[in-house]
Amino acid sequence: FPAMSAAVVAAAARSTLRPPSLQTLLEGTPESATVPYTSSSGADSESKTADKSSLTRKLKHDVIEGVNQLIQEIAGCHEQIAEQAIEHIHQNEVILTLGSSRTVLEFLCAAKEKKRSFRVFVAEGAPRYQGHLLAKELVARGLQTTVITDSAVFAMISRVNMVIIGAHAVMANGGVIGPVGVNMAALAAQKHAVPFVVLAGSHKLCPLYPHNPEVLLNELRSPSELLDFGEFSDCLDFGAGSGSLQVVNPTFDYVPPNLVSLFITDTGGHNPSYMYRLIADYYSADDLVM
Amino acid sequence: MLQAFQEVVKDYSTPPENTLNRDMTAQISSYVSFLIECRPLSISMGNAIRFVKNRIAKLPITLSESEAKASLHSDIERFINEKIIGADTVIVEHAVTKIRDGDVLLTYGSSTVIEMILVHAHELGKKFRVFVVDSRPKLQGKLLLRRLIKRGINCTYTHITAISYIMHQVTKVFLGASSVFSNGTVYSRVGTACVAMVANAFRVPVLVCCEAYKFHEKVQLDYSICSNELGDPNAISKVHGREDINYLNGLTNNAKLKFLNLMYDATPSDYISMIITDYGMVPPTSVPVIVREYQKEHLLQSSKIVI
Repeated sequence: FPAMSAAVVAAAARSTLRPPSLQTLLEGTPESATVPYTSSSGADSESKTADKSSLTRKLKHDVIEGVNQLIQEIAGCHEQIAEQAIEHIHQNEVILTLGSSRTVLEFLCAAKEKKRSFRVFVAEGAPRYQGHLLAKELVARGLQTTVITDSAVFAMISRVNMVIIGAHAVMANGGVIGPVGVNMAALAAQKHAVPFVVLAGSHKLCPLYPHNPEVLLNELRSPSELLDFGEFSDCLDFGAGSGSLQVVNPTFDYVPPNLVSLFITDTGGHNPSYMYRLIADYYSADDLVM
Repeated sequence: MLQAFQEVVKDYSTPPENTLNRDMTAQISSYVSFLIECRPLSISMGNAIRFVKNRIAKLPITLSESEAKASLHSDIERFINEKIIGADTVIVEHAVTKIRDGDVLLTYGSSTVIEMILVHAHELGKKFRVFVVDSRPKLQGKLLLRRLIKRGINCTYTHITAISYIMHQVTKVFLGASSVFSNGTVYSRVGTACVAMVANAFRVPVLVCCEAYKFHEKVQLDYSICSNELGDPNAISKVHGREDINYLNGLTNNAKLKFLNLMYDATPSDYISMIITDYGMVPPTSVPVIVREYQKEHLLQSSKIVI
């Protein structure tokens, strides 16, 4: 068998401490300290047929266990993130938020539970108007809320102590995919040296690197949210002398890592430059298609 | 407003034992306070009113009432033609030189000057696309969009939240202004600052088109709270045309929930590449110079009448 160098031994040790990667599970190799890349279909295929049924059962068990773990993580991440709220939100602060994220809602309510009094500005997040939803929830929980239009974000940023948003996904370089309009808020926050905090459960980490994030990682929604079809039907007729009309309605926005001050995940607060290590924790190197 | 003042002048008659100057100034002041009650004056309106009061004060006593009225009338007429309508023509001529074939332009909200520029450039045969960026609650961009499409300009319509998505395609940004302050800060419809900031982040030049009568010697640092105008808060809670968005119905009287509907915001001068006025194309740092020259011009004009 191949001589094992120090690096290979370290890789093998890492793989035993972690749950099995999907590739090793599907190849059917039993867990051992061998190098993951040795071919499995060679010598032990004969012995495999004998205990194939027990292997299948083990495989199913492992996969179900993995999925259960993931479900628990998703359900529990809100509390763990909200526990850290008290360190970051102080008395008489003004917080700006965008869109509607349950993590942000729990975060702010946890700070309120600990008797910190603060105000929240919510940008309405047209054209989905998720800010309205969040404002309704916040008011129901007793927080002082003000709804502002997205265009007023730059005007109000000088009056704000902190910007907190929830992420849709966190990329391998520490960049954030968030609701549309967060890049505008992040740029304004940088100009006024306001901390820009992103809340993300660890299940939101993504091992991909965003090469052209505006286009590739985005989703375009129906233009009817912006323009009523009936109202503009006379403009949609591409007759002679009339210009063409297009409508752009993206769902997500990309924020580069240099604009983010802090990530708060269920494992604690991190720098954007650290996020790639967390990805190594949750994804095995074999599973990543690079 | 100035045409309304022309009507005032025409219908005016001096009461006995009072001079035209003082009495008319008092009348104009009372009308101005009525206007202020309806809606706070914009800075350009303030400048125009100062001009009118200046002209009234400089009227020589020797003129008869009808001559004085005729002189005022023609002064206001000249102001309108030179400073407003004429200025727009000059700005359009300057600005179309900046539009090239294949350009992708971005404009925000609805500005008459910008519309004139785009239409004129299209008539000259230049090939370009326009992104019309709109925002709540006024959604004025829809009106501009309709007018541009009817003239045959290819347009793309989007909301202000999506500007980071489209900015990498844009080659130039054209913005209108309500006023420009002496430190180069542009005071304009709320959201203009966001557009200029994102354009700056993507290295796209920002050109502001503004007539010179809108300049003001005031300086302003704070971008929102000092001297802003508040609009109707219900305009935010109710979304016109989208009846499915009614999350905040019934909550408008809640003490914990407030709505902030700003009308204007101030764009810092470092986001602006160039200001196009009827005095030419100037950097934002030249604005105090124009303000000084502009005021001097007022004084020069008035000195012509005093023989």
